[in-house]
Amino acid sequence: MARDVSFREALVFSFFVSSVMVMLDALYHLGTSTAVHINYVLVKITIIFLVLFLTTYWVGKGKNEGIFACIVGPVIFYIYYLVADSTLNRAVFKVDDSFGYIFLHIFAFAIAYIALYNFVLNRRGSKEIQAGALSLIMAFSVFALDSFYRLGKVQIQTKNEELVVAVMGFGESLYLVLFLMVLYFLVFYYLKGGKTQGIVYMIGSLLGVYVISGGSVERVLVGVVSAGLPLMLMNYYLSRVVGMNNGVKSNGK
Amino acid sequence: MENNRFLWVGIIFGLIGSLYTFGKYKFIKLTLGIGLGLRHNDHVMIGILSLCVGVVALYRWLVDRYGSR
Repeated sequence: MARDVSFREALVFSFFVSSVMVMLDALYHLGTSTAVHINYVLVKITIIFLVLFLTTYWVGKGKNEGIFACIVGPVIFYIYYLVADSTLNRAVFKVDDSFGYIFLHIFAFAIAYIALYNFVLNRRGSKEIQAGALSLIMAFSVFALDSFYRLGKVQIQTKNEELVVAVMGFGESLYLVLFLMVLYFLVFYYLKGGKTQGIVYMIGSLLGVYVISGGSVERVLVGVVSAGLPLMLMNYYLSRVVGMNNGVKSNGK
Repeated sequence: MENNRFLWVGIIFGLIGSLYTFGKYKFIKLTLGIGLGLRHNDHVMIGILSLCVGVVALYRWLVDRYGSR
């Protein structure tokens, strides 16, 4: 008989895993000059989220369920690529529509799933690995919300998809993710106390966004939500839904 | 019927998904008249989402029937 997972647990679990998966993939695309295009990113995260959410809610979380979702999600996304009309000029922009990208998507999905399921929820590995996995999840979730804001804003303002593709750069994205990962690792590993962690996490995140975005106050204001929401969700998930006593601080020393 | 609920969900959503995903635009719009006033890519998206539901429902049915190791 399948294991039952609550609706809220499946929802939050799927949010984190699909955000991390899509942004790991986006970072690879930025590094290899493949277009990061808001429409395809939204389609990708919708498909990945739906497959993972339904699998988690209907069947459960675990090794088999993870393998199933990691394979089915990217394969269905590849089918979408095969059948849908292209919305970007393929002569100018390279997108991840070739068969080989299925394996990249599976790999990114597996990393995200293992990081959350194995190291954060089931606490496998050393304290350092657990804090590292949690910092990876939080950093990519913040990066995801920040990127969606930037891509969505240009898409709504210009309605020009070719301009949207030029919004994100590899260097800036990589610096932001690395900075957030190091910051969150230090916060979750060394600091004790939920309030102290939360304050340092928020101030550090906003400072990082401000510096890396070249002094954009708008990005900092958005950062209050894009950094705060994952922290609130993760705290809520670990303390209330999964039943760990003390939220994210439990992964510290 | 109750035991096979997820099987039926899988079959129904799988059929709808296959139709909208792989069906030609003119066939869906003119022959069947279920285009809903949408473009080809919207039909594909409806189909893909239905396929997601169908495939996972079939997986759930298989897990219920044969277990998950």
